[in-house]
Amino acid sequence: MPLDSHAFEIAAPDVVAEDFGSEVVVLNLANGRYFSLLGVAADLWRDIVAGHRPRDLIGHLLARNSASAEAVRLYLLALLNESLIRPIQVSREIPPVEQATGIVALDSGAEPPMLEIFDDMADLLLCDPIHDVDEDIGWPVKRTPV
Amino acid sequence: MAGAPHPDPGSTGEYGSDVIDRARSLDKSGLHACCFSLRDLVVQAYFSDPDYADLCTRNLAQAPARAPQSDPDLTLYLLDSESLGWPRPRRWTGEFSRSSVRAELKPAGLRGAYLHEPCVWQFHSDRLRVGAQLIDRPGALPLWESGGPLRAFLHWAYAARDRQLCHAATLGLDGHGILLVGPGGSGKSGTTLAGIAGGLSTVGDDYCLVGQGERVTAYPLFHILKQDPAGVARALGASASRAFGPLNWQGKHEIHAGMLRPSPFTGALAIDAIIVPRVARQARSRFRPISPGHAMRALAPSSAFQLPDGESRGIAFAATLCRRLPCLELQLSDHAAEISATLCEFLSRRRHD
Repeated sequence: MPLDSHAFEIAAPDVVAEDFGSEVVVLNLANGRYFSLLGVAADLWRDIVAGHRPRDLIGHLLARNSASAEAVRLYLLALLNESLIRPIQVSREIPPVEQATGIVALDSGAEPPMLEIFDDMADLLLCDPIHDVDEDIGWPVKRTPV
Repeated sequence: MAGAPHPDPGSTGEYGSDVIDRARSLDKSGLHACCFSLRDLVVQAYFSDPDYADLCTRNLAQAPARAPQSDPDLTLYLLDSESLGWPRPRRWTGEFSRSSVRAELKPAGLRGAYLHEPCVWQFHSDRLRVGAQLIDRPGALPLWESGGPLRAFLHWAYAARDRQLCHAATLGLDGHGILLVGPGGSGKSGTTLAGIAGGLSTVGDDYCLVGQGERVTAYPLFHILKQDPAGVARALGASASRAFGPLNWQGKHEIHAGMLRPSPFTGALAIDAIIVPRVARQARSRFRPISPGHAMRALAPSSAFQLPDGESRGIAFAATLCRRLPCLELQLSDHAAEISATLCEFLSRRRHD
């Protein structure tokens, strides 16, 4: 799904996020994957939740630093591909791009955003309960690959 | 067959309501009745299988008996089709997800969970304070049931009381304690047993009940600990395993409170910190402050993903805990006695802070 002209929102109720200031922890209850967003990644998450459009963020950065713009595009695409955000369902006011904390941080030389992914719970949550489990033990023990 | 749930009464919500209605109308004299006095929760349970009733009686952490209560906080029907002559539990067809179970039950005012193999349906009505579990035949329970019986029902009942089941081990000293959090294999149970061997108390090594009032307090839910033979040998000595019987489905001993003298279980611990253990194989165990987010990643996913229907609330609860309490990583040595001494010193210091 392209980022195109949409504003986005958290894909609730399957996706739940908790903001600890220095880190945003995001859980996708639908597939068991969870995520750590640090630094600019957390800032950009807050920006997206506040209503900033990816197109505006990326466009603003392109004029100054194409490498940062590409890193932000890939990061936001990853959020979308992980189904953590979705196009906004009720339109809202779009804040000025200059107020985006991720942009301010990147303009000040911050490291590009990174999405840290944890899938240790996903294996058990997503395994096919009929075919992928150990026949003798049953769900949630996955069958040992031969 | 009279009184049996209709094999195909329509939606999952209608099926759940039907199971609950028919369970409530059963002749109770044909069932095995048990009253469990848990922490601030009296559960009246009716079992079709007496062995399951015995398992729950053995492994649930029962608080000192309160005055007899004519109106229990929760009434449970733990039923199997074979004993009752009911049709086998219906199978989920189509694509399965926990959210789809939740979505289908919500219109009927129910919470619930479904397990494919063995086939287990659990339905819970907050309004009626009633839960019903339907399985195929006596003993056809998930293998993990003995270590944490009735876990989902307790999760739903306590959530309505602003308390939360947490996937956490615990250790304490003189009423003050710590939560040990992390995924399976992170060292929670081994650390707990090491601490117990050194004289510390606990309210559980897998799940406990947590309340957040002026203080964070943890209570026991299950009077059972789990550890593999190597961990038992490290903490309690090479010959200790012999006293603990056969291994469970995880290759662990299920160590009932009564197998340990004196019993390490205590009624409550005022929680002073969240500890994330890490097997580091150092000469000495060491604490390192970590961020609330780090602790959250160790605590919330395993709790949320193992406790169905109510995940968002559980995550918010865990986040509040991580914000309230100091969070530390404990880099573990290989020596149970040294780990225990380190924890004892830590708890003594916290108690006097």
